[in-house]
Amino acid sequence: MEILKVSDVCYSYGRGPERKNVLNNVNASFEQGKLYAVIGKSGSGKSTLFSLMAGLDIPQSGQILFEGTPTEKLNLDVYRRECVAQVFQDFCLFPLLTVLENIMYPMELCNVAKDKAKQDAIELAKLVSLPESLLDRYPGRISGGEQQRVAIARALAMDRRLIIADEPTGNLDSENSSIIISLLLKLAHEHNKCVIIATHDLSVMESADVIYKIADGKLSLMQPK
Amino acid sequence: MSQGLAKRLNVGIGDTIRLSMAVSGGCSKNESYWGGSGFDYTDSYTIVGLSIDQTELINDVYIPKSDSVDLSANKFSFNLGQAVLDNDMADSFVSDITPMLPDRVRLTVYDQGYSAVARPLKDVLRVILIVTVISVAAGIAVIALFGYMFVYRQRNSAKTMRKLGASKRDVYVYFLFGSGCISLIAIAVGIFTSRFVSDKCMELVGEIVSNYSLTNLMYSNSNLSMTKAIAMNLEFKTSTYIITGVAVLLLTVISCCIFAALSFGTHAHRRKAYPFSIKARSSSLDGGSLKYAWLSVKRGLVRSIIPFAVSVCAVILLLQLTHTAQLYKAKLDDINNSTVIKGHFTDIKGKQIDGLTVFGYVVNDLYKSGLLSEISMSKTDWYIYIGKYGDTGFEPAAETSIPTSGFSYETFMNMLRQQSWFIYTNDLYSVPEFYYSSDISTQFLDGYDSSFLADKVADSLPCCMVSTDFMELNDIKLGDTITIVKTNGRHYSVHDLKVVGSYVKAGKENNIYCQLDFYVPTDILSDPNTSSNWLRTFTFNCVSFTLNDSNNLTAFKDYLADSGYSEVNNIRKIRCFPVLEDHNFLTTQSSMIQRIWYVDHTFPVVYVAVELLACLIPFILVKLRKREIAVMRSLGASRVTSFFSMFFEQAMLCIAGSAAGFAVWLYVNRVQNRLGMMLAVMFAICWLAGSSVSLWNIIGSGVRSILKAEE
Repeated sequence: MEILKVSDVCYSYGRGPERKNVLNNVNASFEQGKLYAVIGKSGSGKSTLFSLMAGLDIPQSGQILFEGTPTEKLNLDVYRRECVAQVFQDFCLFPLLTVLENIMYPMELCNVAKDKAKQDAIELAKLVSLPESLLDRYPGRISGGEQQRVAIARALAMDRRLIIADEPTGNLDSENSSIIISLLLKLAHEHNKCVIIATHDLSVMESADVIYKIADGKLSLMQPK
Repeated sequence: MSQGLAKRLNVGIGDTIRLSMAVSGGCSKNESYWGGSGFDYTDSYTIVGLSIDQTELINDVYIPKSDSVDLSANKFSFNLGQAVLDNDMADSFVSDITPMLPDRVRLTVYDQGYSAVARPLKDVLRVILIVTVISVAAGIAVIALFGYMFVYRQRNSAKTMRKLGASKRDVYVYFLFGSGCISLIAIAVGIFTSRFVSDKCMELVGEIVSNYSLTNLMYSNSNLSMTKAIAMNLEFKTSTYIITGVAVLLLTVISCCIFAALSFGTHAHRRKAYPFSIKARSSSLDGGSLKYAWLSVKRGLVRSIIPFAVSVCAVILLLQLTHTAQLYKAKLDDINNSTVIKGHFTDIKGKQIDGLTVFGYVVNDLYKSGLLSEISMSKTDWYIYIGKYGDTGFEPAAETSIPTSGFSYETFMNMLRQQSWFIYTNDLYSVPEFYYSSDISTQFLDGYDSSFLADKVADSLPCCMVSTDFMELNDIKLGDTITIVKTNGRHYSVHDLKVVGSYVKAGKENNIYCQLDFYVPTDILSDPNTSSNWLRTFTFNCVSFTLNDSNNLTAFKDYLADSGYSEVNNIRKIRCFPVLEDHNFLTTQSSMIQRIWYVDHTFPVVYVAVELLACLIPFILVKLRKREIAVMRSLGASRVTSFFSMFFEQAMLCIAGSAAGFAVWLYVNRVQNRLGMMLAVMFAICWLAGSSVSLWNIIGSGVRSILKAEE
């Protein structure tokens, strides 16, 4: 089932002769239950496309449709809060909140009752294999792989169906990287999420259900499984 | 001795003269000569020097103090004394010696204008010291901030250098060279700028000092001493610039070194990022922005302490400065309202308060000014006590025959002029004998007090006060009627007086104080319509007055000047020399005005600087956390939620800090300070405004651009 559609999206930086078209009539379609990998050189426009899909910005032309509704017609705060979850390369955890509080944060934004929020957060931590002993620690006191799992657990809060991960294994070693990939794969296949990953990682590409390549502002399907 | 005396005696330097002196107690110069009871010490002296003739000193001979002359019998052994004080010791000297002085002895220090120069300079130095300390502290803080930012912003570059094989030493050299170059350029710009600023600063200092001398010294007893003018010639030395520049350069380099060592030392990163404990008790985030802000405050450690501490210090500073300014103004008002300024007439040299000839129209002029609350005057004659009326009738004191003409009359008048004084006055405290006394021991007949002297003479008898010694000597009781012969030097008259009061004398003479109205109808003195010719027939030997309000001091001086009265050493149309005893008042007032002047000029700059800092600090603190805000926004937090998550945190810290600062200040000072409160509130408002502007600026930026941006 199609959850997100990118339709003729254009985006450019700069003005006049300095103007650079990063995305040029990009089209793509994403479905639930699949893991998508988007590959491309640095500066090819991956992060720009991901930020548009995550609702951090809106296309200069074309549309991004979430379940058929263009993002510019959505309340982007609500879209980010309830529809799309992001996982960042540098984790982006709140340093002064504990692991548990970081996972609970999106639930608090949605006014989930505190007991339920806490229970759900503990279960999400279990889902991403975070030991209970880490829950009361600050993010700075746990390893990079554990931090990324916290970020994924946070992304799973509120049961958002679309997960966008911009190079989630970029800062991790191969062991932690494979743990994270298998976790994302599990989310796509077992929890029926649509997971879109920007990556250079070959193992991610091998695991992905669909691979898109972005080059010269165009997105092209590389290898449908 | 003087040249004139030497010439008259036909002696010169090296000659020997024989001097006889009256040193016994109770022996006046005249008594010594005529009475034969004096001259109880005689010695030979060699003339070693002659002084230039001065009218008043022409008959004086100066001899060295000698232990062989017993002066203990005299109450006041010396006529003139001089003590040399170290500069700046006058106040402590006066405060130390004053409690030891007898009641009537009054001490005045004439410092030749030292304090007029030293006080404003001291004030300026105090201000300079405060400004210097604040500047140095602010300078060190800025240098530390520069060192932190310079190293912090380039730590990735430094790490890359290390990865590429650069040694720690190389990295340090990189930072030191970079910071040194930037610092040198900044120092050059700073020196260039401060050359211009320093001129303005020096002008300000000169203005502060010169303002001190704007006091109106007309008719002031301040003029009885010398004054010094201040010639301000201030300039910065080149060496000062060089030393300051070198110090700044060294501090900058050291600052960078310290932060580089902290950044690249062992485990430095972990310590820096998470100085607190590994674990915390997880809370529910129920409560939204407020809860997030509270957790951030609670766990922020240094990040939370800085705004709190800054708020505490700033509020205390604002309250203290405004309190100081208000205190100065209140003190000045208090001084103006509570100070009693007296004045008196004196001779041309400003040395005598009695023995003057002040005409009645002068006193009438004083009344007409309308600026005086009390005018006291006395007129001195001489008297001989004849006897008293007792139960058996008149009881003569001694056989006294009063000649009416011839040589015996002249001898009688000469004898009268050597007697004690008969003084008409309206105020016992302003007569020469008690002018400098603060407490007079008196006793009065029932129904009388010292104010009887100012009353009109009753139909029955004029009333008087006599000394207790006189009463004991002549067996007189309060209420007795005595008879005296008095003279003004030309004529004599016999009078009966009712003794209604007694006093313990301060001098050796048994003076009689009588109602002024017995000499002159007092109502004509205060009547503006009394003719000058009539008033000219009355003269007074001592006149003093009190201003009704010290705020009228200048007006009264102008009145005297407009009327043509002379100042000491400055003869004008009317050769009467009023002196206002306003030296201490003017000194204190001038000092207060001076302080208020620079307080009014410098404190507002500090207020504005503090309020600007209140805007700038939260602006920077919030800016440093823009990534945190962007993460919130990326997770779906609305603009309002993101805004208030940070805003509440800043509000909590600022308000808590301000309240703590206010509480501490209030505990110490325990007074209300409305302006300080307003500035403290303004400080909090500025803090919140700075936070708000910074937050709106961040929230207005795209989330994507913030997340993408390098720190």
